[in-house]
Amino acid sequence: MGPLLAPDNRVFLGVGGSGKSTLARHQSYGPWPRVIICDPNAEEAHAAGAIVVSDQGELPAILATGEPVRICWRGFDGMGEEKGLDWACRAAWAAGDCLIVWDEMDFFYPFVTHTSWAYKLWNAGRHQRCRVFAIARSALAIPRTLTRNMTRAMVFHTQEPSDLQLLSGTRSKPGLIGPEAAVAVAGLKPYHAVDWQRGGAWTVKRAPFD
Amino acid sequence: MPNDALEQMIAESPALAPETDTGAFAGGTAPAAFTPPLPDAIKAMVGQGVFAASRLACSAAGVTDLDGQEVVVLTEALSGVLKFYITPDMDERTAAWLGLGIAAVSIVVNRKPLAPVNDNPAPAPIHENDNPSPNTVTLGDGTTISA
Repeated sequence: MGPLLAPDNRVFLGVGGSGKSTLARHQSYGPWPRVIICDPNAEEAHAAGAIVVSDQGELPAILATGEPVRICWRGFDGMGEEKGLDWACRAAWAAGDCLIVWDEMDFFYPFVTHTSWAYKLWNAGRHQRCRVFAIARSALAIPRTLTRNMTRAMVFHTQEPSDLQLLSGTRSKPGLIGPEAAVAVAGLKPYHAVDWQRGGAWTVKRAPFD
Repeated sequence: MPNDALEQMIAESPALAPETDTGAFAGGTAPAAFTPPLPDAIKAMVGQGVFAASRLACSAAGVTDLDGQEVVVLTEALSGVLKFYITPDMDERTAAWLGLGIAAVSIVVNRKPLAPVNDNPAPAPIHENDNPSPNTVTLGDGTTISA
């Protein structure tokens, strides 16, 4: 199989309990045979229906079987957050044809440097048929080196001024989703999200949605 | 078909530790990692720092200095906190600078002011009929006897 014709990098933003992780999990069931969920908080919901893996060697070993699999990766206690994220991204790249979910980007964003596997996966992962979902409470946790290759953003309600400013933009600096969509975000009902797609089109939807 | 990149990752991974009975219940979380205490050398420097800083603080507050036991108690408590920050994986250069800082502060604060130096001392008073020497005795008839 050849590379994906376009990247599939989605961002899920919202305060705690807004439904962003639930929506990301809902969308994680797709035509890709392998899913790796980076789960630093050890959430039961992430583990449901997945193989929970904490051992460094077990992650590539499971992927090496080539079988379809859903992995809940919790190697962060042993490896630390930076190495744990890098290891999972490297494994996803090596396995190919998979989806990797970065939950809690608020923890991970300092580690997405130009030399990291996370950066490589986000920007060039489509050549390995890899997709990335990034989940964060704050829009500030999505580094601007990544947002140019963001293909879709699902933004739940927030009133945090700095987040709204980043989403909306200023006169000198365009926002992530533009001023009109940012205004919609500020007025969203519970479990509703602005579904923004690359190119600027956006709609308000009630989660979960595909 | 073997995946060379994944095989390489497996080769880089440490071997799985043998499973041992930790006594934890099934599904329980692993015990928290043990945080080693501060090295004795660092703890001694912390003690100096506590002593010096307490003198400064007590002086500023106009209260009595801490006694030895109070310094020990405070040092133990502070070391209990610092062990989470001054860890064995701290690089040696940082640890050395930290040690120098603590030592320098404790030494400087412990200095006591010298008595002021008088550049123009007053001349010694001259008294008439002073005995010229403690070993000299003047008799009633004016005769002086020296030992």
